[in-house]
Amino acid sequence: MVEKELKERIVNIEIVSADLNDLERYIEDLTNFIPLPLVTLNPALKIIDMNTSFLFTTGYAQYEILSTTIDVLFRNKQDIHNIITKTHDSGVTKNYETVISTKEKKEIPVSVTCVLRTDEKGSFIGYFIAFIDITDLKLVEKSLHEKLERLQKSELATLNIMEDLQNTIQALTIAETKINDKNTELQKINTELTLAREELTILNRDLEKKVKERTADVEKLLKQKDEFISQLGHDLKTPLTPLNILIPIVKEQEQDPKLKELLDVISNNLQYMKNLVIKTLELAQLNSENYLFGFEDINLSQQICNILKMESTYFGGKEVTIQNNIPQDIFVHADLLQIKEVFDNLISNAVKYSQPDGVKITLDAQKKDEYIVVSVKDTGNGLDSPQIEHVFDEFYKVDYSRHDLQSTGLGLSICKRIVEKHGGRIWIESEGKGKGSTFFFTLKAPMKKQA
Amino acid sequence: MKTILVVDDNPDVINSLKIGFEDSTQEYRILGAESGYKCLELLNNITPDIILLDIMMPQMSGWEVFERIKKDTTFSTIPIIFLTARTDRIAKNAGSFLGDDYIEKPFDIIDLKKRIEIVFRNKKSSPILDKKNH
Repeated sequence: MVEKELKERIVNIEIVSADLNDLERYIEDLTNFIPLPLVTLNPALKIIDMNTSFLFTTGYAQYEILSTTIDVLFRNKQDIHNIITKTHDSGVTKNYETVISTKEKKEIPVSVTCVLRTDEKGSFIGYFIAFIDITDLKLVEKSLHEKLERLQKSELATLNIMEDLQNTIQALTIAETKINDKNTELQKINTELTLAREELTILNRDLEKKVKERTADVEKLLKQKDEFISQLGHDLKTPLTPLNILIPIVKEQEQDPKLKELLDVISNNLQYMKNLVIKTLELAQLNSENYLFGFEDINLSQQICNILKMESTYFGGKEVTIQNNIPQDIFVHADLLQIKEVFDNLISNAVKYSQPDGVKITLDAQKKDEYIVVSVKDTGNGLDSPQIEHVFDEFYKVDYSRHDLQSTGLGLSICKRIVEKHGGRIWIESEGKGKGSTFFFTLKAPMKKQA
Repeated sequence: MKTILVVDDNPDVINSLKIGFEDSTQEYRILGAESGYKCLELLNNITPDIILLDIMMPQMSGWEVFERIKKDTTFSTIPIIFLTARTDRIAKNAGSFLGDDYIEKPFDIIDLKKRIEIVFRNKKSSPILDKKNH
């Protein structure tokens, strides 16, 4: 019985032993299979077991590392001390990051997990330590860190750019404000300008109106002036008539030579007054709207000959040579009496303003487009620029100091009005005092070509 | 002796003409009328050989006097010379075409005498002028 029982026990033990062996092998296989480096330490931190992954990672052979204290692996011995202390305090240390050195002194960043080993009674018998290679993690971390740094740098750069942008925006805002201000100012100025322009337009309109009114006034006054002169002339003519008749009779009858001399003075002045009245009236009439011109086509050269025959008595003893260079075929469309008046005035003027020893007068005419330019050139006294400017003015005399009963100061004014009434122009050219002068005036050529 | 009737509102013109004409050869006698009305009144009694007629006169102008004389066949053959201060072309033309002549104030006595003589001469020798005045 006992034997049987014993045999049964032995069998049971063998079975349990076999089971235990199986379990031990299983654990060993499992441990070696796990890619995580594992190591078992006794309380004195000596390595009493390890797996294949541990040997592979550290580069040691089992015999080299067995019974060695674990701190041989740690570059910083303080780390293992910290791990152990912490494990004792809280039963476990998780993910303590540190660096271990391999046999070949290669450093591997690792995350260390440590737990206490206890027996079935719960007594402390050592440690299990697992090492997780965090090289890749560290690399990633480093890369991340670099990226972060770069990011930070770029962030900084961005910030700088942002700041610059902000500054620029601020500057722009200020500029915009200024522009807006300027715009407002411009608008204000524009409004003011528009107002000013409107005012100016109104002023201009008023001015135009005033100018028109004034022009009308002036025209009316000028007309009144001419009417007045005309009236005055006519009124003067009647009282001049008895004087004109009686003075020659008295002069004829008077025997006393002294009184005869006085009568000559009276007679000369009467003659002057008569001329003045006649010429003034002529001038006024030339301006009158009622004045009728008798336009006809005139052969200029031929008419000049007629005038010269008539006028030769007026030369007052001076030796006057008149050369008529006017071409035979020149015709003008003009009022014959008026043109005679112009020539009469210009010739007597040339004679009057010449030296006592005589004068040479040259007449000429030239066709220029639809105009005939007539010239009366003399070798007389000539004129300077200020005189040229005023010589056509009414009542202008070249020499006021000379008391000249022959000159009314109206001859050239009459010429000017006649020429202008004919649609022409009159002007004078002189090289100066003593160098003679040339009068030019234009007349219209006949409408149809003269046969 | 020929009778000249001077019609002018200015008596000095009449008087000076009287002196101017009568003083010389006794050839002419001057009668004066100081207005158109006086002229027409005088014509009822006297027939002058020539009339010197001023144009610009108050009340009745020389034109009107002229018209009245020419309408009456008794006087229409009397030659008329216009005397005027007007110098414009209208007056000149009217004076020389309507009347027998036209003379501008202020005139010379010698010039006037010549013109009067010419008018008398034309009157004798030219029957056409006579007709014109009818």
